[in-house]
Amino acid sequence: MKSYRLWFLFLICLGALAQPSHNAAPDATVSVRGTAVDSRTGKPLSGVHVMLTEDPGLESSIVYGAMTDAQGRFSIPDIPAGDYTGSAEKRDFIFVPDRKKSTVTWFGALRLKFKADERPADLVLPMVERAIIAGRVLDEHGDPMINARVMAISVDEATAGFSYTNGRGEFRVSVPPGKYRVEGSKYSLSETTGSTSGYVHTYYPSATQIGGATVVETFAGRVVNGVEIKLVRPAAFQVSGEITGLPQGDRSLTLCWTPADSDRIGIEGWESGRLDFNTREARANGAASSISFSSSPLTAGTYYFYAECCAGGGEELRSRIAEVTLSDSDLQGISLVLVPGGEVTATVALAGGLVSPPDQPISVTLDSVNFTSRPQGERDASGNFTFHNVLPGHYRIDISPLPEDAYITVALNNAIVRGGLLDFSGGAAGMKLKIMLKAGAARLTGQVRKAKADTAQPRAQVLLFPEHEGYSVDQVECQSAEANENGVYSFKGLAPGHYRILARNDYSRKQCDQAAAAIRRGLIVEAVELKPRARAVKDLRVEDEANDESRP
Amino acid sequence: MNHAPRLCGVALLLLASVGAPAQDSPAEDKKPASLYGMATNSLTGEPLAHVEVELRRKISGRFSSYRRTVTGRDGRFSLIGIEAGSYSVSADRNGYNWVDDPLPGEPPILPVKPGEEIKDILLQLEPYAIISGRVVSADGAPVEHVTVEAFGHSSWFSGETDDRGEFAIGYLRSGLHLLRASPRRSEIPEVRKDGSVELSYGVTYFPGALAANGAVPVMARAGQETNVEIKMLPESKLQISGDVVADVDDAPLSVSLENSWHTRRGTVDKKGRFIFTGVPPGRYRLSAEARSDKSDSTHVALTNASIERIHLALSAPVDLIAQIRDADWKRIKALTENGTADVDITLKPFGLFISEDSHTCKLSPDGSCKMMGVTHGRYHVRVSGGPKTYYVRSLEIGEREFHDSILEIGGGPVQQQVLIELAPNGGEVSGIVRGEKGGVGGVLVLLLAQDGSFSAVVAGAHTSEDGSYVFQGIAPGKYKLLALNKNHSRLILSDEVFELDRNVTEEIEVGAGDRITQDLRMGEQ
Repeated sequence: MKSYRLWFLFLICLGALAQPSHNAAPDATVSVRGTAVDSRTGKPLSGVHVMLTEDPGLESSIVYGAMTDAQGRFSIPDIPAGDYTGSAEKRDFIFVPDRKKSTVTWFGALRLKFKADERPADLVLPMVERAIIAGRVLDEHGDPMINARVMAISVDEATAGFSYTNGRGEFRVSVPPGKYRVEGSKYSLSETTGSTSGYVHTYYPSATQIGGATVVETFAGRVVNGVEIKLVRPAAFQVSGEITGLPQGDRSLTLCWTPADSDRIGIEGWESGRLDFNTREARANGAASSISFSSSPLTAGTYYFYAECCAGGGEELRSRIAEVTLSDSDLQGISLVLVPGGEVTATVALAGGLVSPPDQPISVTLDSVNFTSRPQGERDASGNFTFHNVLPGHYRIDISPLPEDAYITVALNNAIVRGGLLDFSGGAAGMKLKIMLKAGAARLTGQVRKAKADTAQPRAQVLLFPEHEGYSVDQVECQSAEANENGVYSFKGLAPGHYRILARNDYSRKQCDQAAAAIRRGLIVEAVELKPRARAVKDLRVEDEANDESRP
Repeated sequence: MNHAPRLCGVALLLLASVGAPAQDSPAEDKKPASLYGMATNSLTGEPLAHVEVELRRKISGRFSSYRRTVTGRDGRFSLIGIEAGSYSVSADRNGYNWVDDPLPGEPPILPVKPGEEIKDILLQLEPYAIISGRVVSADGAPVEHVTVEAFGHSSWFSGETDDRGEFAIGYLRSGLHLLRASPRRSEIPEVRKDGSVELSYGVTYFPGALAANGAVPVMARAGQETNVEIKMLPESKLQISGDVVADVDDAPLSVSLENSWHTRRGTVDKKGRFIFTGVPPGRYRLSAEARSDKSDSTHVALTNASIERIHLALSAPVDLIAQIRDADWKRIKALTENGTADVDITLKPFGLFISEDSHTCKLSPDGSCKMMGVTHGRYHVRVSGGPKTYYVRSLEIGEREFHDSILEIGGGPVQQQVLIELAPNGGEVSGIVRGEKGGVGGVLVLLLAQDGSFSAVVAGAHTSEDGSYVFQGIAPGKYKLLALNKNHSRLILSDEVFELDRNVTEEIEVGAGDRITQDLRMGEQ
């Protein structure tokens, strides 16, 4: 499913970048001819509605249409040269363009380019008699679920069809014949809390993981009945507690929560939320210095809870970030104390012959991972930095300009910080940072190739982890780079040492966690050692997804 | 600067710790309250299990989830350990509508006092009504991918026909619904050069009408399924065309044709011409807009012939200075207490929706006030707050004069003055709204002014306990009177929805000084 979503985004990007092709003479026209055929029998199909839609013209686009005759032939004469999408429709049939021989859009249409001075080749438009998957979607009590979305995805993930259940909870999805997994989901947003219906994507018959899906085989012109999906709703629990340390006056404050595993922030799994309070109203309700809260119901998992205050006037206050794990019951007594930011000091040492150019002194910024704040260090005469009003949260260090060939090591209260992620979630006051810039950074480049072919894989994600001993890697130290059109990736500013590396085809927020787990289990063995000032080259192959046990 | 925050923080922490012991002692005002109740099937009165009951707490003017529970087999629920405060209760179960579901954002408040025990909260849930059926073509063949909407006074939902042409719309509440079937259609025009003809259907109302006034409402019943067949009609052959007058720097121009549920966009060619084809009969707002904020719009009622040569001339919205004639203003001031009249002037547009945004201003002591950004169109003008029998007799803008409270704002300067003449002998309409058992109190009665086929709500009044209502100070003219069903407020008051109530709508004509009695029946649910 993720790859589908990504594809969709990618197409949107392409659409935005595409320029109308005006290089052809304005009145240059072409005539397009072709045949619609039944892809199973190879016989021509009559009465097919063929449509060529002018492509990039969003404003004044035109569809050129035609119907196929008794021999399955159609003709669309004298249309402007340029880019088009082509599609075909006929009752009880589905257009199935050949994805190997032609470019097909996400919506199943052909991408076509007609040049002014060339006679276009005859188009062959394959159609197939549709199959229908019919059934019902039920809730956890067995009652029919209306307006549930039902998606049938072919087992090779090449084709899909979807529909919504009607007022009786029934659905009929039209698909090209083949084997499918059928997934039901129910999405509805509560206006008060922003939480979802609570149902998760459920595969027929009632599985939450794709592995538990029963495959449905369909045949042309036939209906598969009785596909009944019982939607799964995981139990949900509430978190309650108290916010203290309220400021004087009439101020608004907010309680926020977000899943610790950020991959759960998706279209369906939006489990982040907030509650707004007002200090004056809290006092009117008899609470002198505290406000009690109760979250909306949340499914099992780990969440970050924190309170913040006084946006739009007054001093900024924030509580520590409380990590709350829900397993099988409500959780009470979470205490969040609003405190002002604390003072953090930092020293910067240059080693290995590095010199900071006098006309361009180094500046140090703390970049908040959770929030938008970026406190900048105040530099004193001796070159030490002080950060005022640093609120609780996680931060990374940003150094500008970073001397050429330098890499950064950070110690927090004299302990080396792995991956440069500073944990101030319990408060930042009194934290002492020691930042070391060392000379001798290494570079690493290479080309990513396809899993089973010796050609470049464009735009793969390359993940790099410092290796500590054996297969020991830490996901917080994950660095990623995207390969370019030619599959070439590069990293620089790397500390010398041993690394683990891999390339993946798709992007997921959770990829660092998954990859680190796979490395620790010995599933990924690509390693590279970088000596000081190395210019290393390492070619990679993308992970073959079918053999990738690290995926869910 | 950098020390101040820390001091403030210490002070707050101290405050918090001083406050803590007080909270630990079981103070009377901290004693938790409890809520108990039951959910039932409103048709059978039987207890209903699996109903999700949510208690929402009102904080800072907003409701947020406070506690949830689920009814047991006996339909009962309990919520204990509740802090004192302002709450609302809601009930939800798949397959049922909560009978007392309030309007969004306006739930009734349940105040909970410390230590209180609230018992016997009754939550009644009504099983969904379903309207289902088939959509067929003229030759009886099923039509796929048709969106069928059911809209009634208290519910509006839709469904799509499947490969057999069948649909089933759920979620509905009991009551009359209009059914509208819209075929899936590309917004992009299709050009055919091979001689074949595109067969397209038009939007069709049950049982087979192109416009809402020919539709027959269908009764939906809770827990039951009502079955209908809709025969799609061919697309209308009617067109609306014309041109737009604009300056060169207004380009690009766009035109749109809007009815109460759909907006079609069109293009303007180099000569300023536009055309909309396949327009079903009905009422439309046709408007042209330029990037420069200039616009023009007009209302069009399409019946059985195409409408051509509509001229739209772009100009900026008007700032209107309303001025009561001197003599009238003096008389009004003399009639009000202490000579301080608190009088409003209101412009109600005749539009696609019964209650469109109106322009209002409060008259200053010199009898004038200003309305900013009034767009072109026709309006009904009313005075309110002054003596009750006064109405707007005539209006003058420059050389143009208007009568019977109807005003047209057209092109011209950006600032215009309208001189208002008032008359003391407005008509009066009164009567009683009757239900099955006599007069019904608390019903909203609407008075709609008519301008051709367009209407505007000019006044609304709630009936008193005996069901009586009265409107005073009505300008001479044609009006409609309608007593809304109490559930009506869930929907946008579009002209189409009023078709549901056409049997209980009364048309009246009011002359100066008339006293008309008109009893009304309340609209069906």
